[in-house]
Amino acid sequence: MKNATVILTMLVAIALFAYAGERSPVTSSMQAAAAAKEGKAGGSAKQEPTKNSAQNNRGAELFETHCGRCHKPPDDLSPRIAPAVLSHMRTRAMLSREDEEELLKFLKP
Amino acid sequence: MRRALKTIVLMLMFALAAAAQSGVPIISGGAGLISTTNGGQTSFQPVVAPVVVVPLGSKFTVESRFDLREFIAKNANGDYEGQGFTSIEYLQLDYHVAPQMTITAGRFLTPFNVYDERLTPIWIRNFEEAPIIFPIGTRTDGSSDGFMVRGAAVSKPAWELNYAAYFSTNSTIEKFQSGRAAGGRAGVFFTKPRLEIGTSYQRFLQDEHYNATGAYVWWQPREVPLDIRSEYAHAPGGQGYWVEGAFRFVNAPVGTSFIGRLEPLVRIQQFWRTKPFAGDALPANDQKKAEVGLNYHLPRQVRLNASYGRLLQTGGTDRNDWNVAVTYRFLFPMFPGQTK
Repeated sequence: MKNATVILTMLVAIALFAYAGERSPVTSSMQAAAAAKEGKAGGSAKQEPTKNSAQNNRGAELFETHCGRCHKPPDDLSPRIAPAVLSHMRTRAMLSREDEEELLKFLKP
Repeated sequence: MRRALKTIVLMLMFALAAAAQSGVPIISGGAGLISTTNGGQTSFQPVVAPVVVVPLGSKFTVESRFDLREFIAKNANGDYEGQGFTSIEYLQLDYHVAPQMTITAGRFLTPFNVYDERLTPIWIRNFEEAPIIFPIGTRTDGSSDGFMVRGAAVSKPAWELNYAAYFSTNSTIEKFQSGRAAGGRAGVFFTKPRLEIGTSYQRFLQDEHYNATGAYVWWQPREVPLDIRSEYAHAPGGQGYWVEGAFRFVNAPVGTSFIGRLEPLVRIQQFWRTKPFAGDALPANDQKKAEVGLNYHLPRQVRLNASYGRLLQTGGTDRNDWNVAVTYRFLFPMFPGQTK
């Protein structure tokens, strides 16, 4: 019973931790990925059609094609760790070097 | 056991030393708390499953996933009692020999169908319990010790042919158990409709030799936020299938902050026992199960998950299964440092 109480406390703590965080329903990268899945141009309605957004669209498309079949994008990705993440995904999702570069731009714009 | 631990420590030390020259290693993975009630028996499982990834330049990667969990259930006296389990799910060296071809050595997830490789992380899987047919092709514990070649043989804008072929040796080393087997998986992924169709084969080469075959279909249409995943597998002892559907309300016209996080789930599975087959880890009798569930995606990669399933079995007692879980996906650098 004591264990059960500890576990329930952990559950509540994790939920509170999550709610204490950001309030937006989805992050920008998730919006971009969702837009790519729907075939829309642009990651979000407010996004300007700049060169960066075009790169993001390509990256978002690739994310949905190769990574999004199993999981959602991370909330944010530090440029320090992005190469390691892509190295991990390269083996699993059979990414080409070009795909990796586009995904890198999308995940750490 | 001691030799295995020494090997791991040496591999990681070498990898970390080399990684200092080529990038920041990461610790990723999932943590969670799973509550399961099967036929009235409740258990709790706090789980941490860290993934360590150490890139070694542009050609090599060392990666590993561990699973640490405590199984807490009532003992004969009615008191909750815990028992710890640890396992090494993979510990592999990847050599990226060509743009879309990787040679892997070490311990890796057995590429039979795709559930084992893609859906086993606790923060990804929609139903906490693995499908009934999961043991087919993944004996003895979902991991293989040996070599694997994987990649994309053809990669066109409209479609891609991906594959994985492997050989696994028999190992009885603690934490590194595996069966002697050879096999592979091949799939065609059509990028526009986001449809993947594949097949798997395994020749189990230990004790009694036999074949296991499988097939899978995944479809994630672009038009709607719907995931449909299915697998079929056949072994001498039996055969079965599972079909899973998940729908995300991301396009809800109102209340997107609440409704958009909801993801209703359904899974149907069926298993037919062909004949008794010692040690195949499959149910002794025919089974069928229908499950419904719900994911609620919180910010910061936290997910609440609940599911209910009704198991019907021939020659056994039917039962209700309940699962409630909270999972968290983490991802951070192994060493502290500046963000940019």
